[in-house]
Amino acid sequence: MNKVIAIVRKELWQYFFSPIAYIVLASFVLINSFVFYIVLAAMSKAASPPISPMALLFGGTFFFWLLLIVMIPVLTMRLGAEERKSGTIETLLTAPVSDFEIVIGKFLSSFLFYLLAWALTLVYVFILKSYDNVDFGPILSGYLGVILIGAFFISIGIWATMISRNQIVAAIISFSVMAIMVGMTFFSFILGSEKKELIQSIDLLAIMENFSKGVIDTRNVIYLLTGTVLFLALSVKSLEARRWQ
Amino acid sequence: MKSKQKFLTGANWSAFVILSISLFVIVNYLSFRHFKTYDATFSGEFSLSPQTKKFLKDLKEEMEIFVLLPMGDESYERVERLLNSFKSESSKIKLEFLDPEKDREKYELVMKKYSVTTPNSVIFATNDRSKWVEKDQFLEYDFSSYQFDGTAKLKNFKGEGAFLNAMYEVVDPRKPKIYFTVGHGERRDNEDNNRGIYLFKERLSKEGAVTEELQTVALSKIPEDASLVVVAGPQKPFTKGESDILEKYLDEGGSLFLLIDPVIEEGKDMKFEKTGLEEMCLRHGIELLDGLVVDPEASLLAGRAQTFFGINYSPNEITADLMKNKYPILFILARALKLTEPTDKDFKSEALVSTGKEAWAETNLKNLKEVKKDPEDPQGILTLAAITVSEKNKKSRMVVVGDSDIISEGAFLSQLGGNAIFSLNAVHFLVQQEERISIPPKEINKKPIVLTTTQLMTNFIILVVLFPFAIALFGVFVYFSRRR
Repeated sequence: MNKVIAIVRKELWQYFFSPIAYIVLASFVLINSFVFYIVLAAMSKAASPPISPMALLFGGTFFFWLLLIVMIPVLTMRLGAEERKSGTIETLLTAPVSDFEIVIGKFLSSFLFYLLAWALTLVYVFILKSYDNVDFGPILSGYLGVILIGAFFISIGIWATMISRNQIVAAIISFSVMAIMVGMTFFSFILGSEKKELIQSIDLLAIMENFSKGVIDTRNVIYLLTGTVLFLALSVKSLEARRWQ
Repeated sequence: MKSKQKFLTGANWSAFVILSISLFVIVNYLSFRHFKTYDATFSGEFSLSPQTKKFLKDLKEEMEIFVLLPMGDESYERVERLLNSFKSESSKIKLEFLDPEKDREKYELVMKKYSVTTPNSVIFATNDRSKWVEKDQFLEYDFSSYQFDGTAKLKNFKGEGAFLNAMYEVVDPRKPKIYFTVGHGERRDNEDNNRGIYLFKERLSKEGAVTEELQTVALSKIPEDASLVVVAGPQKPFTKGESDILEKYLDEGGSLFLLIDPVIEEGKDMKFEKTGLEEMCLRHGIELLDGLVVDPEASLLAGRAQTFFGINYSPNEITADLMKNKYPILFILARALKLTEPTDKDFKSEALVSTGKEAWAETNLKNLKEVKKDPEDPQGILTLAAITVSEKNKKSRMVVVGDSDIISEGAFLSQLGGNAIFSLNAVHFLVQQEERISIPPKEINKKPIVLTTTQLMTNFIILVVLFPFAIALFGVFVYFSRRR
């Protein structure tokens, strides 16, 4: 456990001592704040549909998905690929840490950074609370969805960086995989209702819609958790294969 | 040797990948087959009512549900979410969504098989029985802005109640027979100004009951097939003989629903007209007082405290949902009731709806435009609706309400919803179909947050300008500190 903490600490220092962390955080906040403001402005007009601003923030707009599939590859791309390119991977692989600890350490560092970014959006909840009675249930389940989808995407990013030599390639791989998963929703429009049910259970837009409205479906939770575990397991195996090369 | 090692590593890696993906697929397949949904909203927006859960838990035979709605339909998402909750509660539910375009062949086949004539319906079917629910039965529109922009907004989603009733009808096809007495100036649906009773009967029919009018004057007994007899606002008294057959029917396990208005006798005495049912009610623990209820605490209009909302409920199956959702019942000129010791000891009476503490029953009927509390007026919490049930056979049930206006058109269709729920719940209880107690609709059109221009501008400056700028500034500070 101490070894995992040491890796997490090292990676987090690297994030926060480079400008990239602040660029990512500032962009993340700027885009989310803008979306939140637009939603508030639209809702304040007469005859606007009564939708919760937080529900739109949690996957209800194109920006949410854009942020995820751009931000997460940026966060994870250097974690393995850069070490391999700079040669520090050899030091890491010969150190008395297991492949599992390395992968978990790197995963947790990105995940904590991701959580910090989303923690900043709690400001919006306080603002909403100051204007109206807010049902905290859908907000909590929305954050649960954000956490689970984040963990899933970060595990994809970790896997991509573990199989690539180049940061850019790692970013492109993770971006592509995530884009396909997000794009799954279009299949449900094309397919008939029978197949639609299957697609819908892995359609991330539909999954996030459930969470943002306050519906916690065990299928959605299990899909995201097992997806995270699958990609982390593949990452460990990729790192192990590298050790044998 | 090296190539052998490479082969083994490759095989090991491939086996691991295949195994991991297989495990992922198996776990998700199982979770897909056996899932649960939880409602995280504090308001219980997506929670099923206890009666729906009980019905689904007790479901013995397989229930097929076909949703004949296009994917883009305004109600599709809500119907899908609700029926998925049904499915997560019972493995007997088989759910299928059929789009009229994408699944045309099967869509038409199913419509033909179940003789469905209206598109946009939901079909509930077991082996030998089926029932379909039309869209207007589970969706309610608000037409208030129709004349301005030509559009009707979605107001309420009544899916849970409509679907549950349809499933009840499929599982239990018994149709209770409800008689409405006539011949005493009661509310009838063949009169233009009595659309309320028409709507009431229409709802009962949609929920599986058969309604019929009953002329009691020449009867020797209430028909055998009666599940309930409703007396809705008589203006003239029942004869002793009529009252006796109603009482006999009640005592032998029948049910009565009395909606008794305060009818004032014409003439200079200005007193209440007798209904002929006073003695029967009294023997069963409910006294019809000669007083008009005035409740200034809950009045609808200032200075017109005879039109008021009943909001104080006693816990009972009929009032449980009204209490929970705080739905008020609108009363327009109600007669006060009083609980008494029943002469028939088998019966036990209790209040269902009461007034506030400041209410009184106005006994001076000569000047109803300026009512005031006099010492001789019954005062304090007054009973507006009461129930009496036989402790012995549990079948003899009577609900008495001091106002038949609770089923007038305006009150029945009131956006506040309490009148329709109360009257339908009372009927379900009286015909011993407690499980069909009405489920309140879920409100769709909730009030959005509306901010002023100044508030919006303040938010823009704080959130879009200052907040990201502060983070960027902090980053610049850290970067330059590190460089030094």
